[in-house]
Amino acid sequence: MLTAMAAAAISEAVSSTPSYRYVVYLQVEKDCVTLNNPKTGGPTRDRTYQAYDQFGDPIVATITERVLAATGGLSTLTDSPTSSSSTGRFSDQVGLLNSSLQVGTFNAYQYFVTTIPGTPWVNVPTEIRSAAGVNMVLGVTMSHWYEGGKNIFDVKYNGDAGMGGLPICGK
Amino acid sequence: MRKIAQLIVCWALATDVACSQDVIIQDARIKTLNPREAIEEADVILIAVPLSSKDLRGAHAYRDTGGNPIALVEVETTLRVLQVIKGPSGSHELSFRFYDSRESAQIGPPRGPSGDSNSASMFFLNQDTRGFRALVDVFRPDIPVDWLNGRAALDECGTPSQCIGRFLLTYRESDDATRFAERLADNMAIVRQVNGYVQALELLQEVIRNASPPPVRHAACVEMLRWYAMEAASACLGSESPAATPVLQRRALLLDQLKRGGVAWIRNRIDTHDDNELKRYFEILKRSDDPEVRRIALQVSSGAQ
Repeated sequence: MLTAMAAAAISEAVSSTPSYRYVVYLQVEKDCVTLNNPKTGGPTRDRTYQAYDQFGDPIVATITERVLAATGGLSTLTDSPTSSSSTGRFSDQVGLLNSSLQVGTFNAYQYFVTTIPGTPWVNVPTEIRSAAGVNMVLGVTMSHWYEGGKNIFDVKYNGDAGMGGLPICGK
Repeated sequence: MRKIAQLIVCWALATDVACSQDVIIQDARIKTLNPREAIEEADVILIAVPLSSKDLRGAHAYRDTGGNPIALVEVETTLRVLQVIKGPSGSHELSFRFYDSRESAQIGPPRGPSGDSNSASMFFLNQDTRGFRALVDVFRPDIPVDWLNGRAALDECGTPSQCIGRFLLTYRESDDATRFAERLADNMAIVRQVNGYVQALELLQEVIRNASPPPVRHAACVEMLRWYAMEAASACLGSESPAATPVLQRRALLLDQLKRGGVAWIRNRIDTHDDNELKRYFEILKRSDDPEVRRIALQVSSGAQ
């Protein structure tokens, strides 16, 4: 569905204005772990997405995420399931609170739409490229459990290896 | 049951935060900072270092997307002012209010009200009857400038937009080179949005030209090759970059588009209707150390006159 919407929008943009710069994809440029995020009291998985145009150049665009619950509605796990960035670069941090109220495994689905201000390119679902491949939607699994008296956290995208093998942010 | 628990906590702590959990507020701005809009909307823009933060009261607010209200805490953060970019100067310390979220999982951009204590940032604030308040809530209301080692003084830098561009893309000897280099990719995106294609290019060229230390120069070249494949100097395409081949391929593609699309293509690419900006851009291309770029730029600019 999202792929079809994206293809239709690209087709319209290209046919109406051939020299139009539009967002072709978001590239995951950073994927690392902040060990002790002061806002959660635990680790977060931090990813940065950069918008690229049809020439392979970075482009200034509004990137808006949509975080959905497993039921299909907007997630209530987060304060703002539709947060955005206006610079073409979206910094995302994902992690559960270090709190007994958030223990267990929580699933959400995340996708992104892009807008180029002042053009008809508005809220177009945009594919995500990373070392793991190309996706329209990311399945995000957040876990928090206790083991041997310790808090253990993890965040996985589409069932990948999670935070274990990722570099520490800023190192 | 929840109400009773709250009353007990309220009685035990006797604080505003514990006792006012059910206030529904209308003035929360649960959104991220848009730098270009923030420059216009802010009454005050300053470079400052957070010194301390204290809770003022608990509150609830509805999200734009509906659902149950979310719990927030209004906090007051005190800053040590290093430099004022917009608004009246004179204060060495200033406090601002911000609605912080503490009960939800983190999924999205980093949250505020600031970065670490003693870590410099550029803050965008409004003034109201209660004092200063952040332009946005929940998310960070500031742009980190933590490479500044407690010093901000920048010479005359023009309008707030120009100052912000200069702050984010100027390396000075007193700065922390590693932190400056780490922040460059984020800052480049901000400066492209705020200052436009040509000014961001000019500032980046300055960083590369000004004999910056290796980590800064390397990061600046990486950004130059990513954002400006056609305009990048050969110095950045040398051994410093393992990505020379794809950049040269992109350059060839862009030059072909330039030849075919002429001035209209350039205007669209650099997103300007300003003839002076267009002229400045042609001058940059004509100074390129790639003879093919110079040749096509001359050809296109002479056709435009």
